[in-house]
Amino acid sequence: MDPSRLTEELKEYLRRLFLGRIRIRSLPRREDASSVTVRNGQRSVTIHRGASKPRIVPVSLIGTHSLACSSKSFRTRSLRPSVRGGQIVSFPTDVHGDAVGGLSSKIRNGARFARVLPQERRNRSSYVSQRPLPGKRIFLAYYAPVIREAVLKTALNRQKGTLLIWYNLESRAQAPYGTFLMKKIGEGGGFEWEWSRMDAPDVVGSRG
Amino acid sequence: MRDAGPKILGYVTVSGDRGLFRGALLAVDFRGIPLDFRYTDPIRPTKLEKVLYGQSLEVYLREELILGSLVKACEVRPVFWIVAESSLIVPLRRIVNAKVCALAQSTNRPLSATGDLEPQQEPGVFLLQADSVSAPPRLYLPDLRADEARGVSQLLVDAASTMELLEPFSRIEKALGVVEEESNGSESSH
Repeated sequence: MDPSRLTEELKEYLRRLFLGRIRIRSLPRREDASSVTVRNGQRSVTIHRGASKPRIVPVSLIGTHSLACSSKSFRTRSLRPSVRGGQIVSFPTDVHGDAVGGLSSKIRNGARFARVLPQERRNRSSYVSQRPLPGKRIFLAYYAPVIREAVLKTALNRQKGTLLIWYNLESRAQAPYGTFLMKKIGEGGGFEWEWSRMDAPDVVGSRG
Repeated sequence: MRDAGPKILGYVTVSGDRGLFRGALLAVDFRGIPLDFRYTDPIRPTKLEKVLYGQSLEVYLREELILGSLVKACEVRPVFWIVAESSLIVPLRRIVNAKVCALAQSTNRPLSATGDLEPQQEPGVFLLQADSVSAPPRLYLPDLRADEARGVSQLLVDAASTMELLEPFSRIEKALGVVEEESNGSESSH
């Protein structure tokens, strides 16, 4: 094999092995050269900042009364040991809402209603031991107490079996009565009231 | 409040059905003749008020607002107050500084004589034979001594001789019904 060819192949092998694609060529050897100057591909490293200095920009909260955050010169502790904060503005002092004042009770004077309403008496016939002598009458009901002298008007509620009584509001009468409701038998028929003093229950009183 | 004599009874009702609160007061003499009648406009608390007042809402409405306002507006001075609901006794007693009882109808057999006061198992509850021609009403008189209870029963017996003790409650209902009808009529006419 040609020695020069062998040398070239060896160089090529070494070049592939160690130098990648960099092609290395030998300087032509001058016969008179006493020294070989070796130049290397020295490189200097320059580092450029790829990002600007850390900086926190305050974000405004919604509304004009939002929390103010002043932090233009804010740095993280690792970058700058002294951290200065901005003044914290207090929360808004104006509170909006509806007053809860609906719970009130208006008092009405209802005397005119009360004056015209009748009093009502239930039938107490089941508790009466002394009844008027029947004669040609049938005993139906007994109502008490009634201030007879104060009565303006009475009405029988036939559905409920109660007696409605309208009093003269100016009357000073006090004597309580009971009144028996009797049904007359025979000619004419009709009803009859028979009064008796309640403080003398055994006495069956006048008819009316 | 004018003093119209000693023989006046005060009847008070407070209702709170279906979230609608209303109260009424009827003062009558011992014959049942009306001397004063006061009533409140219906009060329906809003949702917000229900939330804000919470569980105290009903107590506030019944005791402070309605009872207090009714008694304050009354122009006569009853010697004795009668309520239908026993829960009103204590707050009303505090407001009027007078004797208060709850009275209810019973179906018990009449006691042997008018004026008989028969204690029941429940403390403060009695049957009172108020007159000779009716069943004894059920009387609730909490925290009263025996002599005080007898004094109250005597007063009620006196009243029952000339009026029907429980009748004013039904008259209050009727009066409120008339008020409501009139109110509805005036609204529909506008």
